[in-house]
Amino acid sequence: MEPFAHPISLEATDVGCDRVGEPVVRGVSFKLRPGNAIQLFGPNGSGKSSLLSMFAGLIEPAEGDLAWQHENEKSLKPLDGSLFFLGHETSLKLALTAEENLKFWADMYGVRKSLCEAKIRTALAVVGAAEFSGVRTMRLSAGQRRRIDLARAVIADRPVWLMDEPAAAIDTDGVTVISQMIGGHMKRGGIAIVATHDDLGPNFHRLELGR
Amino acid sequence: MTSSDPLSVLFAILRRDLILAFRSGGGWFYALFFFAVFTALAAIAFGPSLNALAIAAPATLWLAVALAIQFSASDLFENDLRDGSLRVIASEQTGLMTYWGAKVCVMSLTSVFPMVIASPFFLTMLGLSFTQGLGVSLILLIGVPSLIFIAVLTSALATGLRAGGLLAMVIAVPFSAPVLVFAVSATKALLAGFGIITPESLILGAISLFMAVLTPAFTVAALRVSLE
Repeated sequence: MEPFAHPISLEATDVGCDRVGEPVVRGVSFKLRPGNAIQLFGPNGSGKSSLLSMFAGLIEPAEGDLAWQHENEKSLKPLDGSLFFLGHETSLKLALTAEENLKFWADMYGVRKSLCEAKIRTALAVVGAAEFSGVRTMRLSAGQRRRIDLARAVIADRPVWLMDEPAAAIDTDGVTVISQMIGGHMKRGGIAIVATHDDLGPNFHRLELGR
Repeated sequence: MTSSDPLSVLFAILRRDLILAFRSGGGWFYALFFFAVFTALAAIAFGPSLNALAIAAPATLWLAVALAIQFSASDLFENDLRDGSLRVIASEQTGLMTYWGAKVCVMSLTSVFPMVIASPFFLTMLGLSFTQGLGVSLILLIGVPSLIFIAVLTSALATGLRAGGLLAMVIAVPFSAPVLVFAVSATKALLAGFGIITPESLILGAISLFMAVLTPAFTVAALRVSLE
C-alpha cells in the first residue's frame, strides 16, 4: 500500500471531556505525528469511549485544545473524509450479507463504484473473512462479525483511525491481524488511537486513563 | 482521502433500509395493516348507518393515518443506535442531516405511500364513493408530510430511552393537534363540494412546509444527544 498523500497530525493540549455533564477525563496531552499510534487503556468507565467520541467530533471537549493539522492548515474538527471510526458495537446489519454491509459502508465512505467490488474482496481477505462474503451476518459468530467490521478500515482507506475495543470477541489470530493492520497503517503515515487491553506490539505510545 | 457526496450517501442509506424492510418479514407492511384494521374496526363500531359513517369518515381517516405513522416511526433510529451505525454515520462529514433526509424517504416509501394508495379503497368502507376517496387521498398528500416530520422528530427525541415509543407519542400530541384540526376540516370541505384548494388545505400545506423547515435541525440535535 502506498503512503497517504495528505498525512495528518493531531495535537491535544490538556483536553478533558464530560459524560452526561460529569467530568470523566481531564488533562490529556499528546502529539501524534504521521506514523504514530496511541493505545488508550484504563479501567471500565475511565472514559476511553468518551475520549474517542470527542476525537471523532461527536462531543465537544470540556476543556483544553484539540488541533488537527493537515499540511499547513489547522482545525478544531477532524478534516473532511480523514476519519475512520470503529465503535465497540459492530455497525453491521444482521439481515444483510457481509458483502452487502461492506457495500453500504463503501458508499458512505465515497469509494468509487468501479473499485468497490475489488476493494471489498481485498478487505475481506485482509481480515481473513473471504469465505463469509455471501453469508448473512446473523449466521456469523461475534468474532467473525468483528472481523467484517474491521474490513471497513481497509475500505475507508483514511489516515486517521479511531478504534474502540477492536479486539473484543476476537481470537488470538484476530489480534495478530489487528496489530498487523495498524502496523501497516502506521507505515503508510497514518495515525491511530486505539482503546484496548490487548497487547498490540511495541510501537504504541501508551496512555493510561483513570489515574 | 475519500469522502462521499450527500446524494450518494442518501441513496446508500435508502437502499440499505429498503432491503432491510423487505427482509424483516413484512416490516414495511405494518403501517398499512394498522391503517386497514383501524378503519375496518371503526366502520363496525359506528354501525350500519351510511350517513353516520360518512360524517365520521374524515376524522376516522386522519386518526388512522396519524397513529399508523407514529407507530411505524417508533423504532426508526433504535437499530442504528444499538448496532453502532448511527455513531459511525454521525462521525462522517455528510453526517446526520443527510441521514435525516434518508430516513424521511424510507418512512414515506415503506409506510406512508402504501397507505395513501390504499386509502380510496378503505374510504369506501366508511361510506364514501371511490371518486370522493381519490380526492381525499390528494388532501392526504398535502397533510401527511407534516405528520411524517413530527413522527421522525419525536422518534429521535425518544431514541435510546426505555419505553421511548410511548414517550414519542406523548410528545407528538401538541404538534399533531393543529395538523389534525386543519386536515379534518380540509377533508370535510372537500366532501361538502368546495374542492381541494380551500383555505383549510392551504393552511395544512403551510403547516407541512413549516414542519419541513423546523424539524430537521431539532431531529439532528436529538440524535446527537442520544449518542452522548
